[in-house]
Amino acid sequence: MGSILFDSDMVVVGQPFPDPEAVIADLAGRLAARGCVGPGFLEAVKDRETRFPTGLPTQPVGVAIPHTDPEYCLRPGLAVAVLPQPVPWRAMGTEQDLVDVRVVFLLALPAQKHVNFLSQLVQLFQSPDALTQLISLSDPAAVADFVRCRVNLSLT
Amino acid sequence: MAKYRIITLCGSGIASSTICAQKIRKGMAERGIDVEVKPIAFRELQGEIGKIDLVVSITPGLKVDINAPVVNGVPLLTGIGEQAVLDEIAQKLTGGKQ
Repeated sequence: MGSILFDSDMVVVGQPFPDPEAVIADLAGRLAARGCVGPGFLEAVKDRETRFPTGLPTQPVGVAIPHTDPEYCLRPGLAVAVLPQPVPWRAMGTEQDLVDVRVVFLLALPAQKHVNFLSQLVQLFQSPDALTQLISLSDPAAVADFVRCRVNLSLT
Repeated sequence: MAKYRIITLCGSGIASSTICAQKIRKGMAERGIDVEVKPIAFRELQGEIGKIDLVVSITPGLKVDINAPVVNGVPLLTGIGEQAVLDEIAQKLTGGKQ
């Protein structure tokens, strides 16, 4: 069965980034370092983001969920950024609208069986209380614990 | 009563569209509307034209002529305005007859 690889090494907190590409590059590097994704993943995510942007206007802060097709993913993994300053991110379903994003979940999903995990992730960021707590955390271990407590990472 | 056919549309047809589909099935069941919801990828859209009553899309730039109403599904992911979107879907399917 296995589970989605996620721990404090997969988290970046408190580091400012100039744009979505820089956030995605940092998180993709974390996934690559742990063997979750192969060559081409970073470019594939950035390319998909230009065609199908993933910024979501959640409250009180925006969330982005960049991802790509399963072919670039070797094993399930999750990397998370909690940003000290908002990064303007293109909003899902729009050509030009921007969302101020403070939380980014980069997903490496090699199979098509991760809907349960995604549903839980959606539940998490639909909760203003959960997002408020998440952006108040200042170290990677705390963020990792927070996410693990709210999202079941085992694949059953 | 006829079963309405809805497709949910995202980039891959795997993740976001499936979550939207789950919420629509639940929301329409609560409203007593019989629906069949199928998540698809943007590139699969052409094959569905003429077979569907409604499209719920979270992709930008839906310029294909699909001859069916299109509803923006992003609120189903953010949770903000979710009930309003479900009401809009119900209204567009039934024409307010229900």
